Amino acid sequence: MNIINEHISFGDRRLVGQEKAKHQIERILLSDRLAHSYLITGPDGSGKTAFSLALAEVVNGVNHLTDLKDLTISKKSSWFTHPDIHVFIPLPSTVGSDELQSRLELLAKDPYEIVDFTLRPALNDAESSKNRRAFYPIDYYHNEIRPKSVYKPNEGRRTVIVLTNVDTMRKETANAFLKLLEEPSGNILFILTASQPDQLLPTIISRCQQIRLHPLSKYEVAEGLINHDGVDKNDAELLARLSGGNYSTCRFLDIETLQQIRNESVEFLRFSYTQDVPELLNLINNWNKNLNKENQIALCNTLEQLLRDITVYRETENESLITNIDQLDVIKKFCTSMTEARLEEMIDNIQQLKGLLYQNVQFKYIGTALSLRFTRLMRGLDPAIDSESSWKHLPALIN
Amino acid sequence: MKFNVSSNDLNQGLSAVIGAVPTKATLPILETILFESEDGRLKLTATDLEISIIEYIDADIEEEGSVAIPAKRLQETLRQLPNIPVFFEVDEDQNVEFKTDKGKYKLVGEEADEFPEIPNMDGGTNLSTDTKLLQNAIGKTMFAVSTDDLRPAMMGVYFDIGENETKFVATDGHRLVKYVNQNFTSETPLSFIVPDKALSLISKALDDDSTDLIVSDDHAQFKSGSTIVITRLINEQYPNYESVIPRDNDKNLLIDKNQMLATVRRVSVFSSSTTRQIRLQLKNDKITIRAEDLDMSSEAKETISCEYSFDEMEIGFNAKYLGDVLSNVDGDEAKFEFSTPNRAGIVKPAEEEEGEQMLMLVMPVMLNSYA
Repeated sequence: MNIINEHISFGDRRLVGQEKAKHQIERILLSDRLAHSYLITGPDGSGKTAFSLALAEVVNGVNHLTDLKDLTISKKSSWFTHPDIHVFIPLPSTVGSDELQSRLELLAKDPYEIVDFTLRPALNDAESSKNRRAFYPIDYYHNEIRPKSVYKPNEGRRTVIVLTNVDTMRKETANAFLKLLEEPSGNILFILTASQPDQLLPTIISRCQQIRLHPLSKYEVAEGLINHDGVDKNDAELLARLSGGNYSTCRFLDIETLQQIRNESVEFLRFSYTQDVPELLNLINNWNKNLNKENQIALCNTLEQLLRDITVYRETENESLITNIDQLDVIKKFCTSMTEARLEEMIDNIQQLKGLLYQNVQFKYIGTALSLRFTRLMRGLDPAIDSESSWKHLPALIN
Repeated sequence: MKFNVSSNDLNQGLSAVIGAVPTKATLPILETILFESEDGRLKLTATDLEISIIEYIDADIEEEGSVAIPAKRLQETLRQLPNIPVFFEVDEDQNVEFKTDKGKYKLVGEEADEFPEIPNMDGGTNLSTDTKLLQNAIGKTMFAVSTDDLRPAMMGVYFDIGENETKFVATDGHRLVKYVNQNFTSETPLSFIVPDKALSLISKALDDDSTDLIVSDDHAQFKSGSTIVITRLINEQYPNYESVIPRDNDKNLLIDKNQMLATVRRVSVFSSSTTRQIRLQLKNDKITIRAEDLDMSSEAKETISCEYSFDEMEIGFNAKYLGDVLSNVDGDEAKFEFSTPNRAGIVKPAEEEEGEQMLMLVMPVMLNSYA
């Protein structure tokens, strides 16, 4: 019974990159030696879930993420409606299965969709930052997961159980699950995904075949963005450089806001250098007013990344290492005009002040202090107020 | 797909299959009912992947086709209709529109291909039996089925169909029911375990006098009249229940079932709420049933008459299990068989119909003598 043949390329309709892992799967399927459990590991956004869904479909002959040609054996349009494919994601203890359902529906539309409760606490409200820690409670395992493993497949080759992010599984659940994993019936296939396999019980790891996914290269991310998300080529290349190999989140970056923030951080450096106080205050006050805390942190990161680019360019003059490729002119100009700038200290300063944001210090104070220090550091001088006596930034405290 | 159907017929069909529609489905397609045209009739199918129910109803098919329609919504609408003809029309995008003389209703269906496949029963063993017999057997055994999913084999009723007789067995480890019927036989002996949820649906859904059974390795199909119920079987080895039934029971007791049941229920109120333990003291033609709750300092004692002429004995039982067993005894008199206080007690009806044997067994609880 052939699951695939040489003409079929695994996940060709949707999977982004991961050629090596794809070939590994193809070899397994061609040799007809499917194990009973696979553990797919890799960093966030590398496509572990999409990969497992594609595998689940191929095993049961669903022609959806993979073009199965004449080896299609199922009439179902995707894994979502297949009665033998069961997909589970970690669940906050307060959530019922209705909400799980709507998330799986999203995942059915696009396997790279972010459905994690931790990353996306509410589906309809992008601003929601409710803390919802999701894991596998033991009741969830007993009531939902284990019953699915009892029966033989209804119409497919195997009953496939996909558990994403098993690294969130607590010890009790993991031990209960281990009983199932140790003595599976012949017709079951477990596909587990984990971004931090070191958090798993060694007994679980030892019972799975591991498939490692790598961070996606910027070319792979760009290709995915162009082919599947209809992103314009230039934007795609920029997003890919910013993504750090995380395809699923970079699809949600709003390129316009991103562009604006980056332009503003260049302005910030410029105003800091020229000591244009009115403009600077204007900019910082705007940031203070319009951005929420997460966005302010993101802004600090953007600034840090820009400085990192400048550092790298100054040392290497290698354009291919630059993340903010569209700001190349600014970077070049900075390097030629400010040869003295103490960039590493500037980055240190940002990191230090970013810590204060978590302690609920208002951004306008942080921004002002930062610009004051940058003014001096960009000229290669010591800051007027050294970090030992940072309280002097608040004039009210000095008589 | 286009068809005309009377709302009464459709309603009856829907209520026959809707038992298989799961209340909380992980697979949204399971919340639908599959409508198919077959040989000039309408075939309705519902499944929860364990149990599938198929019902045929008469309809005037204008155009062949198939579609899966959301069950709850359809049933709620149809229930409110008087008995009038309803005209259904389904377009290529699975939009379902149904019309009566006054109203027009629209809802979105699902593609029939997305509906789970119903198991193919070709090649299974065919049997035929009386529906009443089957319903009777199910009713007599089902109360003892276990709900403990650590031992899946006991979560159903064991059908052991032999050449001379058929045994229906259910147990949860504390009590056991064995119902033997000699009117139901098969040339090729076969045995299988049917999950209890399927059994309650089967006994409700079967509506004709006789039932055809088809049994394959994984599934059993029950067909009666226009209804077909297909259930998955529990693929486990049934425990060796014969070995727990004690053989040499030298002490027999004959008692009025209703009187004893009432006594057990009354006395059990005073038993410890954790153990529900009651003790039976057997003396000459007398039985004393007592319970004691040391925590609440309450106790009860009742003596009733019976037919008993053997050595005195004291044996403890869980009141709930004993009550369950007693209430399932047919007729007015129950026969108890005991051997020693640490071995199971057997309960049988005093009189039985020709070709039927009923045996119930309750495990005793150990008594630490406080009296």
